[in-house]
This record gives sequence, structure tokens and C-alpha cells, in this order.
Amino acid sequence: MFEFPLGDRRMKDLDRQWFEQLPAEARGYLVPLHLEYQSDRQSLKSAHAGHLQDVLQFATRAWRRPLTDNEATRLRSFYESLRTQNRFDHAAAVRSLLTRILVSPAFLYRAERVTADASSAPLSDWELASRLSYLFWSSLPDDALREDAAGQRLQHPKALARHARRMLKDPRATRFATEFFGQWFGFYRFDQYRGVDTSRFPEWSETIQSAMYQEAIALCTHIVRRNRPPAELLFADYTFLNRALASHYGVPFPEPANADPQQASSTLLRRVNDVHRSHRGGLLRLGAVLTVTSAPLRTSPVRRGDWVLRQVLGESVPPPPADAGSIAADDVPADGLSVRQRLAAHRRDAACVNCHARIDPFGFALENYDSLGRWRNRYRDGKPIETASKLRDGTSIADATELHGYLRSRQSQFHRTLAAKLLGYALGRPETIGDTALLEKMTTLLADGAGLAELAESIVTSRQFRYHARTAPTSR
Amino acid sequence: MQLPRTHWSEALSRRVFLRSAGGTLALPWLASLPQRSAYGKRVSDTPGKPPRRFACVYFSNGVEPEHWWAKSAPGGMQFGPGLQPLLPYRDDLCVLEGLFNAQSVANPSAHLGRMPNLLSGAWVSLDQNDLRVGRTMDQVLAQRIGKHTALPSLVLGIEPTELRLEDGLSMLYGSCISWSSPTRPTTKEIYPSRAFDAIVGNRRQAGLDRTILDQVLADAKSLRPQLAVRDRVKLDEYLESIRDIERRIDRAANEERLEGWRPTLTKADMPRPANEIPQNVPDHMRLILDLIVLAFRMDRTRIATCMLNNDLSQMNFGFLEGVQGSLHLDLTHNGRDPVREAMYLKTNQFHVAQFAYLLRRLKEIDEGDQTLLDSSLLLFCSNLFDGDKHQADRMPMVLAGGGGGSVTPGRVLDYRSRPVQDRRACSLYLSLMDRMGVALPQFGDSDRRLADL
Repeated sequence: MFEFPLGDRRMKDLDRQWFEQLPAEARGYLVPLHLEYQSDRQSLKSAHAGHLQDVLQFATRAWRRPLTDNEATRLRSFYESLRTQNRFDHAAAVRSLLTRILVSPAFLYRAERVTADASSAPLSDWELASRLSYLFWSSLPDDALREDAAGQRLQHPKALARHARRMLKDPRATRFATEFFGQWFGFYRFDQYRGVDTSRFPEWSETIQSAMYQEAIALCTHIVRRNRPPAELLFADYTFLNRALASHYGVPFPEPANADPQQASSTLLRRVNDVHRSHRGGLLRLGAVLTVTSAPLRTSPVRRGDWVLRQVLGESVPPPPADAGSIAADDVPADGLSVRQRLAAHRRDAACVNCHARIDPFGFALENYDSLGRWRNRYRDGKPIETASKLRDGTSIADATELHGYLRSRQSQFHRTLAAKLLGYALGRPETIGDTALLEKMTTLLADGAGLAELAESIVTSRQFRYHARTAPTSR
Repeated sequence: MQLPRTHWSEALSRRVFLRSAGGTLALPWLASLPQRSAYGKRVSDTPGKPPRRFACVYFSNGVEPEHWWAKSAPGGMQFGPGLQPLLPYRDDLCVLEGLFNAQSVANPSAHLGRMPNLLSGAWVSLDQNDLRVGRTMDQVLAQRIGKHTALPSLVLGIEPTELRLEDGLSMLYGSCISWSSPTRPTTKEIYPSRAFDAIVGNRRQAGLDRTILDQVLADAKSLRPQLAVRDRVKLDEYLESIRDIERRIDRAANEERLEGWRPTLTKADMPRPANEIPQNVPDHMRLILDLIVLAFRMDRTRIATCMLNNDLSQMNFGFLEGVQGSLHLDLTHNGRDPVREAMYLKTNQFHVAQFAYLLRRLKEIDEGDQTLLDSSLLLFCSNLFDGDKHQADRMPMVLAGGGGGSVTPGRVLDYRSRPVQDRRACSLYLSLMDRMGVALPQFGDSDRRLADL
């Protein structure tokens, strides 16, 4: 055992003289240790330059484009001034530099620069790379996009089309399914939905809620990544379930042949076919959609009808007037009138009938699904469910199956809605008159059996996508 | 950088969020906030006396109309069941009856057209592409006198700011009662921990933040000329939010105090709340109200607003015995079912009890000759009276506190039988702003002070 009084000296301050005054035995032990320490310190220090280079590399990713010389210089000198003026150590200075990169508008905003002649300027390769990656992945461009942007190959429509197809097949396209379809169909953030009255429905659980959310995402992801015809969103004869959700719906759930009893994870979703006979399949019969269009204690034919009218058929519905009044919160109210009877009374009011005659029948057809999306034949008080009604165009609809038949006959309307929503999502702006030709092209493609890949191609190769929006005079 | 306009894309997504974040976010990466406050000479405050404080506590979806009343009586006001929890404080408050915003009554959008203008009296734009209301009176105060404290104002809430659409309008409307400009809501904080940090501050970090902000301000300035006009508007909001934080840091660094009065608290007397939002609503509300008390007591701000819920709130009041269902759909619109009406009343009483708690806390704090409640002006209100009917022509309002001797509490002020020009909520706001030291000739739809206050 040695003992050395170091005093105020620190390891890095020890010099040769200090070692020489040590006993030989101790010196022989300590000198190599000190040499190793010094060499470690040296390599750590020489790594600083490399770290700084890595941070600049990180900035090009975060800012989604190469840094200008000026920017690189400014970032370096910011680091230097933190080291010298603020006396930060290397790690603290790097952390601050990263913070500075992430609060810059270049990270927080997707800014597209305009040149002097803004009317017809094409986007730069880097701007196109961002448009693609945020459209399909809700995130930064990946290496393949960055390579093509750096090589200025994204100016070619063919390259854009190739990337679109590649990106829609990628697992990251799940984000497109979640964001785009989720926002459109209303299941966005359904895992955080709080609109179910859990004292009435103690059977409602996070497991069911989460499985319903995953089911909706899985259906949309499947359509996107396998490039299935989008009408399958409505009419699919399959869905994605786990055991808990299947049992909630009352759908037979065949265990896979190779099921490992140890691994019998009930949370994983699997595709289940031929579900029409169990009253499932397609958007209108997704638990998530049926639940968000319900009230906490009962179904809402008005909300469901409104959903079909707006989201599937793309028609506009005016908001209710301020004095529209309300109907009972519960489906079995004290006076014995059903929700349907109350709505019928409401529709006798001339001010209300115009809209409700359009809205309600679609919702009535879905009354066999309760407010948690389960099939039912009777209300809680034993009264039978009435689903039949007449649409305003005179079509009689007996039930959900006939509603699906009706929507099949109006498929082109759904296609037009999809085209308009997708274009709006890709461009981040409302439809304009200049989009009509492109939307018609897309609707025609859909009628001919195209999938999302073909639609995406026609968008990303369009002038709208590749050029700056004409700078319209601002309203203010 | 376009603001997305189609309805589905207004739901909160990372894309949309980041694209519009600059204007409404106080840059969450910058953790540090002011350490000390300083203030100069005040118009309304007598040297050596505590300054006046203003707070507005808002609850959504109106009240159960039959049970919300107050009348004068010998020995003190009498309250209907809705107001019962305030009974111990009846000598510290005035019940205001019959005030309204004319622009709300005229607006056909029953909820969102009648809510975000609560404190401005402005018209709520129904154009989806033009989110526009009016600068609210608390933010007028913040911009005029907020410079005297570390935080110009404290804007708090319980439910998050929502961006989805309701009846074709953005729920941003229903999530914000404080607006810094007609097009820009003031950032609302719902995390008690973050509000605590803003109030108490972290000095060590401040210098570094200032340096970083200078850098990104330069980034933004060099970016600006290269943007389309529409994008510049967005970037200007970012610039403004950066400058806001810089001003706050600068004020915090200034330790001068010119007046004799000192806050009664220099260090927080409560622990820093946990990072997460409290699991249950009553705990959350209590913490947020405690933070208003803390900020007032430490004189970190003199202006606060707090939304107990958002408009159209589906807050579940299962924590109240015998109450089930959600606030807006089941309880407000109760279909006149007596059982549900009774539950709705309980939620009203719960909101009133929260305000009573705030009064109790403020009344316990002695600031020399008077309590903190005596120097405060506290408005408790909803934008609708009968919530089921979306009735906007008489807002339920309670004004508590003595306003530093500028208000005589303990009265019912009933304006219902007066002519319309004497019933404007904006007249009340003019009168309140007067008392806070900001005298304007006109505000919203009013150019006269509220009579009899």
C-alpha cells in the first residue's frame, strides 16, 4: 500500500519532478498509470473536433438541408465562445449547441424559400425531399432521399414517383395511415379518447380502447402499404383483431396453428377474414369510428350520419343553430321515448328537417352497433332496434348491409373525397380552382382501380407539388 | 410553413404542431425563467402599499339557471344553491347580474362564437381561414403594466389546448380565454411543474438561454427576406415569442426595487409539483390555483387567468358523488331530465367551490394592513348563463376582492333592467383596467365605465 499526499494537485497537474521525488517502487507503479491517463486525456481532447463535426452533421439532418458556409462558421464560433467566454466544458458546450440547433426556426418550421420571381419557381431538391418525407412519414428525410437531394436528382418527376412508391411500402408509412386517415376519419389519438362513460360501461378498458385504435391503424396501413384499392377501406371483408377485441365484438377468433401457449400475447393484432358474417369489416364498422361518433351513454345517429355524409360522401353539412336544443343523454330516458322518436319529433320542426332528413337515416342504419361498437339486436330496455329508413333521395335502406350497398353505388363520391383530402394533406392548403384537373385525373385513376401509390405518384409529380404556390396577395 | 386549412389537418399532429408552434409556444426547450422581479413607479399603487392584482377564473358551459341567483338581504346577501360554496365570502365579493357581450349574442355559432371573446367583447371570426377574435383585457394589462414583474401574466388551465374542429371552427377558440393579439392566443400552461418553474425561475440557466436566443433570433432574421409573405407572418410570431422570453430574462436580471413595498414571500413556500399532470381533476385545479397564489405572493406577476375547463368540455365529474357522464354532452345538455339537472348543478357548485378555495387562500395572506384578497380583483365567470340554451345575454359573474380599496364588496349589482348600453361586459373591463392603472377611452364595444361599481 502506498499513500501520497497530493495536496491541491490534481492528476493532470503532476509533472516529472513530482514523480522523481517518489520512492522507486511507487514510481514504477505510478508512471505507467499516469502515462495511460495522459494518453486518454489526449485522445479525448482530439476527439472534440470530431464531436463538433458530428454536431454540425446533426444540424444538417435537423435542418433538413446542407448548412451554408456562414451557418457552419456561426455554429462553430458559438461553440468556441461557450468554451472560452462562458468557460463551459466540452460536454456542456455541445449540449448547448444542440439546444441552439433545435430552437432555430430552421428546425421548428418547414420554411420554403421563394426567389424574386415567386410565380413559377420550382422547389429546391431539399425542399422536395422534406415535402416527401413529411407527407409519407411525418418526419425528416432519410438517407436515400438525402442522397438524391444532394445529387439534384429530385427535379426529375420519375425520381419523385420512385421515392413515393418506396416510401409508401416502408414501415414508416404507418405514420401516414395514422396521421392522414386518423385525422380524416376521426380516430386520431383514439387511444386518449375520454368520451366513454365508464360507470355505465365498466367493461370498457384500456386494452379494448388500444386494440380498437390499433385495428383502425392496421386497416389503413394495410391499404397503404399493400397498395390495395382504397374502396376496400369501406368494404373490406377482413379486419385486424386480438383476442380481447374479438371477444368484445363477439367475433370468433381462431387461434393460429403454431400458437405458443407461453407467448399467447392477447395484445398482438392478427388479420381475421370473412368478418362480414360477424357484422365487421370496413371503416363504418370499426370500433374506434363507432365509438367516437357516439355520446358517452348512448349512440348518436346524428353524429354517425354526419360522419358518413361528410367524411365518406364529402358533402358539407351546416352546423346546428344555437337554439337547436338537445335530446336526452341516455338511450332509455324516463319518458320512454327512444332517441329515434325524439329525433322524429325534432324533425317535425321545419327549421330542422332540412338537415336532419339528410343526416339521420345514415345513422339509423348503424343503430345495430352500440356506443362501444358492439353488435346488438335490442336496446337496454329490450325494445327492438329500428334501422330502416329512407334517404332524402328516396332510397330505402334497411340496415348497415344495405347502407354499404348504397355507398358502393356512390363510390365515385368517396373517390373524389379521397383525392381532395390527399391533395390538401400533401400541399397543406385548401383546394383551389387550379386543382380541378388534377383531382379529376386522380378520381379517374381510382375508378380504374388505382391504389394510393398511383394517387401519390400523380400528386408528387404534379406542378402543385413541385413548384412554389403562386404568391397570392395576402388578405392582410 | 403554410397553416393547413383543410379540416382534417387541423387536428394536432407533429406536422401541424411544429408548423404553427412558433406563435403559441414559449419554446419548451428553454427551461430557464426569471429569478427576480423588479418594478418601477406605478400609477395606481401608493408607494409602500401592496400592488393590485387581477385574476379571471373561467368555467365553461354556463350554469343551471334556476339555481344561480343572489339577492341583497339584511345581514348579508343570500345565494341560490349554485353559489352556496361562496357563502363564507359573501362580504368579500359582488355578484354581477345581466352583463353581456353583444357580439356573442349576435354570433350564430353557439359555443365557439361566444367563448374566446369573453374578455374582449370582439367578434369571433367564423372564417376557417381567418382565426380572429380580439386582444383580451388581461393581455392589455400584461402589455401595459406586465413589465413591472418577472412574468407579464400567468395564463393557466386544466385541459390542453385543442386544435380539432367543432362545427367547422378550430377548438383553439374554445381552449383560450387570453389573446395577446386578435389572431394569437396567449400560451396556456396546464402543467403545474412548468408553471412553477416559470414563477420561481432558474437563474443559472438564464444567461445561456439569452445567448441561445440571440443566435436563433439572428437565424430568423436572415431567413425572413427569403420567405413568402404569408410565411413571414408566421415567422414574425416566432420572432415575437423569442423577444418575449428575452424581455423576461432581462427583467429578471434587473434587481432594482424602487418602492418601499416588498413581497411577503421571497422563496416558494410549496414544493415543486411533479412533472406529470395530477391524475385527478380536483388535485390539478387546486395546484393551479395554489400557483396563482404563489405568483401573486412572490409578486412574480399581477395578472392571471385560469380556465377550469375548455369550452365544450367533456370533463368527467365522476369524482363528485352521484355525478356521471360528461360535462357538455350529458350534463349541460341534460334534456331537462331532473336527475341530470341535479348533476349539472353539482358541477356548477364544484366550480364555485374552486373559486372559494382561491378566496380562502388569498384571505389568509397578510400583506401588512390588508390581506392579499383585499388588494386583488378576482373575476369568476362563464360566457353562457343557461348552458343548455347557449344563453349569452347575461353572463354569470362574480367579482371578488377589494381591489386595494377601490371596490365595495358585499353587494348584488343587477343590471338586467337597465338599458343595453349600461350592461356591457366591456364596461366592467374598462372599470377593472382603471383600477389596475390602465385607463383606456374605449374597449371592445364600450366607451363607458360600469355604473355603481
